[in-house]
Amino acid sequence: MLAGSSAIFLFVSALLALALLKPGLGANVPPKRWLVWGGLAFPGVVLSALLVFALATGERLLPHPGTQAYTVEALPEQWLWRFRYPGGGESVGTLHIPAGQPVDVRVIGTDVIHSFWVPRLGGKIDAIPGHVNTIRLTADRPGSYGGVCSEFCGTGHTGMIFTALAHEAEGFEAALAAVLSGEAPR
Amino acid sequence: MSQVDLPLVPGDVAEPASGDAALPPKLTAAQRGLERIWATPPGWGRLSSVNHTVLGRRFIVAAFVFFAIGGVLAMLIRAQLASPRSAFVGPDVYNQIFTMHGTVMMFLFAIPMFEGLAIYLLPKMLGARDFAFPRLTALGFWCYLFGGSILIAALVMGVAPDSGWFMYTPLSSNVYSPGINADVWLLGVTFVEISAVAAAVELTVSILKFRAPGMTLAKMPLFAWYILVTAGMMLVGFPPLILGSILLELERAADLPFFDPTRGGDPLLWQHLFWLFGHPEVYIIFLPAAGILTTMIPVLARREILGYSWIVVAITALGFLSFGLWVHHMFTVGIPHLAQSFFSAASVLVAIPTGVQIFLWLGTLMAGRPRMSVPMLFVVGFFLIFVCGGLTGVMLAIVPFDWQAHDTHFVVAHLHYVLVGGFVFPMLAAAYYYLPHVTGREPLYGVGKLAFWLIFLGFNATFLVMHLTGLLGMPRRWAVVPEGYGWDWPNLVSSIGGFVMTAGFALFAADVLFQIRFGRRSKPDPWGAETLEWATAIPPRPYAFAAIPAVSSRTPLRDRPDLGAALERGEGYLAEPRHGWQETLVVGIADGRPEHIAVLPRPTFLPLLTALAIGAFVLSLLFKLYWLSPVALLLVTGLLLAWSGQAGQRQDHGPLSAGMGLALPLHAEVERPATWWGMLFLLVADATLFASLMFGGLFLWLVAPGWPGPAPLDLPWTPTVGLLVSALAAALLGRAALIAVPRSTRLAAALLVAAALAHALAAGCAILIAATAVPTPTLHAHMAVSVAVLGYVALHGAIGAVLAGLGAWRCLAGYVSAKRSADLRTGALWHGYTAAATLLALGFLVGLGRLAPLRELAVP
Amino acid sequence: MIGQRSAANLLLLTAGLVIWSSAFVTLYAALSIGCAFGWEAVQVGPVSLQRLVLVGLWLAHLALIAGLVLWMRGRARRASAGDGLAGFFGRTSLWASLVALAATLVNYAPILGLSACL
Repeated sequence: MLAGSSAIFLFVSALLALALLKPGLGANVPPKRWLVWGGLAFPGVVLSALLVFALATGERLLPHPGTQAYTVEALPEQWLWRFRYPGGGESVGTLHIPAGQPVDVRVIGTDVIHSFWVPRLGGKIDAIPGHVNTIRLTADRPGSYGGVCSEFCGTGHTGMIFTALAHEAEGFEAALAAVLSGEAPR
Repeated sequence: MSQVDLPLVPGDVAEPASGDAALPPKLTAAQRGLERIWATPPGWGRLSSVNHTVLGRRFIVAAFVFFAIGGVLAMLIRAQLASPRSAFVGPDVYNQIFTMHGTVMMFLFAIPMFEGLAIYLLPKMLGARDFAFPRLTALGFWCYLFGGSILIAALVMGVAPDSGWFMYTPLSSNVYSPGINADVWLLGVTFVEISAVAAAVELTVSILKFRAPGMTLAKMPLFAWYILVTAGMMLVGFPPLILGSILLELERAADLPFFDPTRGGDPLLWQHLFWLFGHPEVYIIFLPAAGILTTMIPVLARREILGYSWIVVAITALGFLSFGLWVHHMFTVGIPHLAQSFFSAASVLVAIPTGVQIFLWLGTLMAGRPRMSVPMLFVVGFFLIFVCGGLTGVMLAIVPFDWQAHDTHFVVAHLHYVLVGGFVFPMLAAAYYYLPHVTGREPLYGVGKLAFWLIFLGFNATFLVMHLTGLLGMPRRWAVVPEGYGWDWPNLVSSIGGFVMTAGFALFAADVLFQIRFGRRSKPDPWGAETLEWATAIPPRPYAFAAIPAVSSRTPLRDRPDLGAALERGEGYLAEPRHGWQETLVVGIADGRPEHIAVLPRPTFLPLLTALAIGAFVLSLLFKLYWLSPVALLLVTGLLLAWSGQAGQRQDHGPLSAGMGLALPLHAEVERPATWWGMLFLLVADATLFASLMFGGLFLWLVAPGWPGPAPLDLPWTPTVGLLVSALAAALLGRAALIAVPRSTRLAAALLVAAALAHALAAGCAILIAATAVPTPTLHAHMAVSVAVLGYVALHGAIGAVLAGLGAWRCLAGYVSAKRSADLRTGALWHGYTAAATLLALGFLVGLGRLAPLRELAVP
Repeated sequence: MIGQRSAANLLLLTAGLVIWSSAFVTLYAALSIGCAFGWEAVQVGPVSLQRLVLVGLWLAHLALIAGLVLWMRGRARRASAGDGLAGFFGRTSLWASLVALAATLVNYAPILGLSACL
């Protein structure tokens, strides 16, 4: 996208430069050519291609039913992140997920609007009071990923960060149990 | 016929003859007469001005002052974010700063700035002496000034809004923002919005009706087309936000749970209402700037614009398509992907009419021989910056990309490229282009070039690198730059760039002041432009044209280069002043055939006083002095009624000479004067507000948690039938009065009194229904929406009663005759609309009551 | 009634785009209602009730605009013989309705492919 945009930008700048440096160059270009090629055909083709690509990609990222995904709940409140796991255990400030498999985060709205975002794992989704939104993430390898609240939520907005900790899929349940029982550091 | 005291003007008393070129040429006797009629009184009398040239200048100056305030706030933001260690305020103050920066720039700078430009320029471009409703222009200015002052005063006192310029609930609800900060935003901005809707009505009617004879819509300057589309968009785009603000203020003040998810409300409703306004708003800001570019580019390129008709089609399409994008601000709130695809596709589609314009401008430049000048420099700056902003805009319209970039600094960079590139640069170009027109003086270009380079380089230093900051993941609205993410150096570059840009703007301001004070007198049409605004004297006289020209092409000054001098000599329509009337011509909408003469109101303090009374009402709500609110409201009503005394004629004049052998009736004696059209467009805005309210009800029914509510709503029979019958009766009586006028104005007055009573009865019934059927509206959003709908009906009944009463008074006071029945026609529009809205409202309440239980069938 | 005929020109200029707006509102509403009430789960022949409703609404609007375009073409042809103003409105209204047709086609085409309620 960046390359395409740069090319378009350079193209427009070049036309502008020609207009200023070589006055009258376009005096014999019929106006309809500007409309049809510049105004309709060129953006039409570029944008259609982009739109089809975008919609296809978006479709692929959706949490389609049927795929097996590990599901956790996120309950952000002013100004901390609370996560709830299938067994009912909770952690605050750190989200534990298995690596190498899709994870559905059900983001549940509580007080004001927050937004769940782990930049390196995927897009963001808002936590809207009264609603539950689901986002599907996959951490390819174990590790620690930074997460933020990306919707402005008041005085503590800046500090409302969390860590997504991806564990090896095999030992995940055990690691999670250890963390939740307080045996391992959170 | 009104007897008016006319002030003396220079030239009345014998002046020493002088050949000094620095003095304006001597006025003819007719011009001195016009000057006396149209002049704004000196001293305190300046506050009574209703003249478009004066008010246009005031709008522009006030908007620039607010721009400076917004700029200072921006500098505070950049100082805070310059480095991880430079934060000097805590998050509570920082939140106020960035909220106010956005609010000031959007509501107090951008919109009023283009309004000011349009107000100053349009009548002159269209060949009219003023707008259709000069007092409304003045009221709009005062509302804007007072509303803006409330916001700035709150900032100075440290209680400015702090929930972001988008004011998302529940953060802005009274649970999470208990102070008056949010009320300041809701009330202050709504106050300013009154001004915007007033301007939209004013601009629409004036463009359609107040033009020079012969100027058909196909020969109208493109700038007027742009503003026509913009004004139309404002009529439909602003009401959702006004409604949202009213509902949120009702929630904060009276605990009506429209947005509270625990009681059947939904915060998403606010987002829909806000962005339903907020995205068209971007185009509302861009279109006037594009219009001024379309005006300047052909002149600077010395070549007629390519594709006049195509541009008309492109901006019409833009006006519509831009309403189909609002959810692209909400791609992360959990809306189905298919629904997102509609908005995504519309966001991509909207780029095409924009592209058409860009390429037609480029084509015009390439076909002509552009000359380098300061306005041209800013036009080039516009192209470079705006195209970048447009391209990142297309990126953001792509849903998966937006899921990443949303609410990061990438978006901040994008929106500044679009708004500064697409609005500020064209405005700066226009400033240098039109300054000779406003001041009558030649600019000193050296300083302007330096200002351009400082602004252009500073801007790119600030915002180009900010794309990177965003892609590196820095979220918006963080009060400090944390260390260790690689965000330090891009923020430092942005801050340095920001200060360079500010220096550029300061230089621009100094340059303008310098030019006003020291510039040499300019010749009449310094750019060799061919449109009518350059046929006025510069600086323009209060009456703009000493005589109104006949127009036969898009380039009147090419047809007749000496047109300006000819008009000064009185060769045109309405050249002879009479009766102390401010006269201008009104033409047919499409064909530009002269239809009648409008006599416009003279300077008056009423707009100022009315705005002060509205201000008192707003402040009473802000400080919760609810006992004062009805008093202030009565005062507003009384003052608005007083406006009526200065308008209209008490006798039939028949056709009057308009000069050039043309005889036309006065506005009071035609079927559809400007007021009729004004009412029509006001009702369009009103209907949009009502439609938004009904959309809100249905949206909550479908989406909000906690539906159906605790109890079904039962409309009591007697008052419901009473409401229906009396609303219909009011409309019919209003019509009947119109039919009765030729027979007897006393009969018409009696019928109107009956209509007023019927309206009052309807309002009473609506209140009774609300009181009996919805005893506790705070219980559930269904109840709250029902009360809001009934309140809307009651308010329209009450206003209808006042209008009908006013009509009766005007019948008895002699303003109405068989020929002069337009007042009643205008009133009949309101009565008819109120009846229709009442019918619809009752249907909506019954329907929502029936639908509510169905929600239980919904898939959770 | 010169005034009224004048205003009609402007209304015709926007007619096609008004239909596009109507399509936008009805399709968005139908999608939201359908998703809320589980139309996606109801099969009607090869497709879901949801998609059937959406495609039906889409085609109805397309047919409406197509009819408008045909009528506009006739109007533009008649007007080209007349004076400049009629010709201007004939041309611009025709183009605007063509723009509306293209916009309606592209804007809602995703209902043919994307999953409706995810």
